[in-house]
Amino acid sequence: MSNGLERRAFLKVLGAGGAGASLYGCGAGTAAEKLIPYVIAHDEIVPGISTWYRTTCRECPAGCGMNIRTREGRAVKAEGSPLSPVSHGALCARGQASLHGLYNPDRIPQALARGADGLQALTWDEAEQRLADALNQNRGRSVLLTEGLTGTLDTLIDQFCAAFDIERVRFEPFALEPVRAAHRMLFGVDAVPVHDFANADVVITFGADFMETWGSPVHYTHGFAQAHAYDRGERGHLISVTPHQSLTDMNADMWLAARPGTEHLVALAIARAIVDGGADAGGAAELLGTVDIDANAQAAGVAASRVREAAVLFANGGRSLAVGPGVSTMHGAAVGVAAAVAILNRVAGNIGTTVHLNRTERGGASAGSYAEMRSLVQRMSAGDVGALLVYGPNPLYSMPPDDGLDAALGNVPFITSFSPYPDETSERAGLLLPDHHFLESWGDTVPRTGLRSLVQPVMMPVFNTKHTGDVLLSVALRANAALPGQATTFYEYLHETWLRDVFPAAGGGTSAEDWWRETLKTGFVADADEAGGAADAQQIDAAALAQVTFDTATFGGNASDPLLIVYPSSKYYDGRMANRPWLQELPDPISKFCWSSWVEIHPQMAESLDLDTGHIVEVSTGTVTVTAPVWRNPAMRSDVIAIQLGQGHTAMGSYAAGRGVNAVRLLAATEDPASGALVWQQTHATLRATGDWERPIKQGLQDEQHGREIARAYDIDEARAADAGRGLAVIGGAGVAVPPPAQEESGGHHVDVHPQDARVTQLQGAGGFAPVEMDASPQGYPTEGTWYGEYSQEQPRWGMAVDLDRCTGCSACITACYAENNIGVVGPKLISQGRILHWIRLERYFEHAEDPETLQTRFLPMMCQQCGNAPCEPVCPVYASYHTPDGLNAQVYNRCVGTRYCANNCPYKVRTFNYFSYEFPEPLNWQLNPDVTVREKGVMEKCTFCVQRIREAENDARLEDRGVRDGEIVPACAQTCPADAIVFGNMRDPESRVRRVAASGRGYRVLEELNTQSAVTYLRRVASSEA
Amino acid sequence: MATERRSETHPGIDSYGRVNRDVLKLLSVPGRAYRILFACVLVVLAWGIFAFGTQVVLGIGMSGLNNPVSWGLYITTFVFWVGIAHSGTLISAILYLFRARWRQSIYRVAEAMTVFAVLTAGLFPIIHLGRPWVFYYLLPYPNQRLIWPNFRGPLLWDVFAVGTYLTVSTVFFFVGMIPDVAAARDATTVTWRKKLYTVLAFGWRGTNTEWKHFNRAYLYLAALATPLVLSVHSVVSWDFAVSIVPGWHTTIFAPYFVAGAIFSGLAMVMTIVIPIRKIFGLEAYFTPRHFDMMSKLVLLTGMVVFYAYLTEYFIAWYSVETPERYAFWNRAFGEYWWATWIMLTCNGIIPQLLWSKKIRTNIAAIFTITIFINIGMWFERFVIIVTSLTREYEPWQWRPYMPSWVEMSILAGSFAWFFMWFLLFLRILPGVSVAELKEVLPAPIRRLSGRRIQTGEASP
Repeated sequence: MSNGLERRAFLKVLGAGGAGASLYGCGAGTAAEKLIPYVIAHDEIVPGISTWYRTTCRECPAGCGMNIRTREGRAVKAEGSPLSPVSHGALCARGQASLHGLYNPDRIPQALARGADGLQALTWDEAEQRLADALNQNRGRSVLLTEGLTGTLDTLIDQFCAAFDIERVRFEPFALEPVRAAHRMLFGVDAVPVHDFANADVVITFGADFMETWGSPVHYTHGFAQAHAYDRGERGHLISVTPHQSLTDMNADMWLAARPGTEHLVALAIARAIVDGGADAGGAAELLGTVDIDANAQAAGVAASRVREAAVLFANGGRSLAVGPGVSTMHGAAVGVAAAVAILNRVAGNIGTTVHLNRTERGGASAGSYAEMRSLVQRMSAGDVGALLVYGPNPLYSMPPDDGLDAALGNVPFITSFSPYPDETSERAGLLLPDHHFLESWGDTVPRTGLRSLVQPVMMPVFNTKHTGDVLLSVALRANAALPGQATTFYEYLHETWLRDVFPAAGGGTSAEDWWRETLKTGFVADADEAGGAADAQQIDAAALAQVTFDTATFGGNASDPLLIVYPSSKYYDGRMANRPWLQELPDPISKFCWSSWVEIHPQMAESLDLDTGHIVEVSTGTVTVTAPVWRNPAMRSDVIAIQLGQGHTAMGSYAAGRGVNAVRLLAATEDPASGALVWQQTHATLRATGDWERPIKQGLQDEQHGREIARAYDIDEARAADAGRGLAVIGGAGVAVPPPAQEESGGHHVDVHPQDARVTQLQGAGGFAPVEMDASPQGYPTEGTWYGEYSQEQPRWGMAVDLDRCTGCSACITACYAENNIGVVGPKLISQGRILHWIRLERYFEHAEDPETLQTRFLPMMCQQCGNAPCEPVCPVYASYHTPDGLNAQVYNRCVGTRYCANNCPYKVRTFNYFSYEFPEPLNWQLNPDVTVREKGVMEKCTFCVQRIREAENDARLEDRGVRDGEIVPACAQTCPADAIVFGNMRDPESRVRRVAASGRGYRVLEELNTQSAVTYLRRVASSEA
Repeated sequence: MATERRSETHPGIDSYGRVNRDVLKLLSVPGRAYRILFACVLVVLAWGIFAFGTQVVLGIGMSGLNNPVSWGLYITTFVFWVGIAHSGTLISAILYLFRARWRQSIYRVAEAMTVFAVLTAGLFPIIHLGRPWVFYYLLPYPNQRLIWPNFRGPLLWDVFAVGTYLTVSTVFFFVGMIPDVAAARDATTVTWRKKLYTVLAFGWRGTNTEWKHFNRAYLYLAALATPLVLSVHSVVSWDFAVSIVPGWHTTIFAPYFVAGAIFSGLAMVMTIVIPIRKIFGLEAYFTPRHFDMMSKLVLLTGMVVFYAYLTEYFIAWYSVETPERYAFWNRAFGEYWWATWIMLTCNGIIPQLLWSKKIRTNIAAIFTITIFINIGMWFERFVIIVTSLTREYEPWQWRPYMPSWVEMSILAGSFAWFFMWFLLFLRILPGVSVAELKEVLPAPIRRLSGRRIQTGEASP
């Protein structure tokens, strides 16, 4: 996204300069709460033209900068802001699905009171009065429970709590307490440090799923892909030490399947090996002196030679970075893991280079801990809490059942929830004061030290909801509680705060209001020197280190039973995203299950129990038993079973209801005293086959390629040789992988000819095809002497290059495609029948699965290949499937009669068929992209490289009397890719980025032997040399 | 003497009058059994129509089809019925041209079967559409938008092939029937029948000129229909052969499908004729000799089909193409092994029994064998279509298929639809060719006494 600034999308980004100033009809006030048609047209809203707003994603704490595309006053697409130092122009699937939060049909539509006879509608005046009264009655006995907030709202809440004598408790399930604890003890920094993946050539992760939920997934994935992906002959390494592979670990080049609870032994062994090599132990010398590499490796169940190999790689592979633990390694010894990781970073010299102790995630703001939440539960049980206000977390879902929260809530006479959605906790609230969705809200957030990011509303509220900041200010006014400042709305409060606190440092000489407007367009303010604060601490506090225990974690249950691993979902985060239809529909990046939970069992164990994918098993720990289908997963130790978190909601709305199981229910209320965290990995579980089998709600039933070479790989020497063979420079040394343009000048057709000018009609009259003289790129595009799909040399030939060495399999592209192309959500039953509609899918193949040492996971995004010689086209009897002059395989939905022959004849199987008409229940239909047809039953549909974006860019270029610029058109999948794995452009333009990327020696086309002349070039994954 | 005056092919029929009586007896008021049977057929048909209705209203998702397997039971059944349709033309036209005299009694039934089978088959391409209400997009009708169908597409060839076959076989059917219908017209006293026969008889009077023209017309129509036997199923086979689906993409398909069609068509003729013969007492018309001859044809075409199976496997092995080899391995040993083995057993092994003359002349044995062949040939299409689609090039998109209740209902409904027409035909139109049969019977002669032995009251 280096040229993201040039995108017209950016040029159109608007700042909502004040309440309602440029935002269509939006007032922060309470008067206008309905969308009404224009009587007098708004100056800045032109029907048919998108308006873009910059804001910040609040779906997880990471705080990615966003561009929201609105059409006719409605948000229709979320994209990453190319300017944002967090999102880098990309978004994850959760960010893409924020629109399904905004338009969720299950949202609480207005203020409600829960009485004996059900829910009763309240006006906001009544509701606020009730809250004010309750707070006045319960002074000193009230608790406001929030997630780990940052920014202005955090300050306001603190002030509000002070004014009403409310205790503030923070709680987040994924607060990474052990990481904080270890850095607090070892370095005196009570925070999660910022990790610089972009500058880490070698990364070792101890269960930190940094591509999914750990820290800032988009930022980290972006950085990781930059540093890790093959480039000019060089490539980074990712080593994973974990009993069960998360998506992050599936991208690893080396997997040390350490016994659960021993990951820190591996970390210490590696640290010892590095120190043995002469590195400075930095305060950990005493500890490392006691480490025996062989003994540790043996205790961890890993070959000592591989540990040494990892140590060599880590020490000598370039700049390095160790991260962990994550939820899947948060057992009783999690602080030990975190401390060992910190020591490893210290001895490898990473502190201050790739690990920044002086810059922290969320600016060091507390995210609370499980221990704090537990003590709150105890006080509630004791009847010490008179009023509970919940803003954000859903502890009733996220805490183990024997914490007794369920009963404790019964002891609280007054519970208010600000949640915009129903959830387990808000179901217990007597007063529901639904907050705006963040896309309707003002706000700000601090993603990390030195960075403040603004949240601004992009459209009118969909429901009669109210910003919690507004509610707090209004309640304070009603109760005559004095808050500092004069603001009566949260917008004023925010505005005031920014002009007071941020402007003086960031504003420079401009006027405050101009600066504010410009900042809204930029979306964030970063410190010029992001490394503010004290210099990095360098020395480990040896005394504190002595307090850390590095014992192997112990687990409950019967040791002969498999150990239960629970791990976070990249789709649902901590479960809060479970009611989003797009995310439920999205095949899980790991298992490819949708709309359900599953129990992961290693094929060896499955074989011995005679279980296959789809068999229903009971998993039980103590008194709790859950039932779910099996998935045979080779990417885990054979002595563990795993269940993903995030499903099994009982009160979260219609899409989450009854979907799968909540794995937290299997856990006992166990606290890690060293960090106050919940011990996520705590027990062995019994597994019992029920004998039932159900058709798995799963996309992609084969986990192996059957020798078909769909997703291919080179080892690094082959990749270098192939690049060299094409005349591309490879390292070691200087040089670029891109041949200088001069080599390609012959036959290079300039693209500055608009397709409309081409002699399309004439050519079609002559039979449609015209031979083309084309300088074949090293990739042979198109094959010399053929003219498949080549109408005219004046036409562009749209193509794509997908770098499989960058693709992490995160699947954000799929949800982006759903959002852009109005793809229907078919639901679990139809997915189990194979009728999912995704136009781009992520194939995940296991290679060499028989041995964990050689196991390799390959991801391949498969979308329509826009074949030049497309098998789908000639077989359509009605020309619904036809070839556009610019080489796309178009599909005319209105012409399609549904013979489905095209789908039979598509070797890539990328055409999807509408077996039914799918619904977009109100108000989800507001999200529909007005530029794309909604298809009815009986119609075939497919990827068209986002033809609506192509045509829009072409029209714009035409209006400006120029050609389409390279990079101007970005399909939704490429746009949202955090790893920048997908490049789109004109293959006919030798200067285009896509052409240059496709020229790589690693390039190949899937099923090329069928002579489909596909327009998508895949770049082989580069496997580590050991595999 | 009587024995000397017997027909070579139909020794049981001794006179013109008997032919008239026997054949026109079929056109009398149906009995109770017929009515019950007909009611059952209508009930099944109504159920099939209901199932189709749910599919139209709710979407073709009511079938069991899924993303890799876009064609299933409907196309299987389409090809099955098109195949059935072949023997009619074969028996009436080709055997006519070859002057196979034994065909005379049986060809009317076979032709009727052809017409009704095509009528049935023709429904399926529309039933299987995602949007059957716009099926006319497939027709090259003039329109202001100047949008034409895609003449490169095999599905369009199908439209023409099946359409042509339906037209020609219907014309052939009705033209061949003119003299018989005229006889029925003259014999009947029922008003609506009289009117119907009058129309269908085209004013036939049985003059020499009419006979001359009739014979010429019939000959030319036979010559016209003959290539269709080869072309229709060749085109249907190209629905598959021009694709790139492993298991479909093979040049052997046209002859293989034609042989299979004749094979299944003859089997179906026998399956239908044997009960009719028994129920209506037409043993004298459909003699063991007929079944013997047809069994030989079945054996021949069955061998061709079996040879094609083996060739397919050989070529798959010989190709050294992973997907191609896998497709055939998967047929025999994959999820649908049972379908493949049903097919091989029913079409390859069981017909070998027909080498025995004893079996060829044992009506019960033939009936059983032909039932097996019908089943086997249906499964042949199922195997080709479904197993190939379940596992194509992209392992990620491999997925099994099972038909839904809607598809099964429509399959049953299609049989009901076919038999409805057939039952109506038996009671309304002469089911055996009176005129042609008389050609092979000895002409009536006077006894020395001058008294006619037989009264040839109807003079066709």
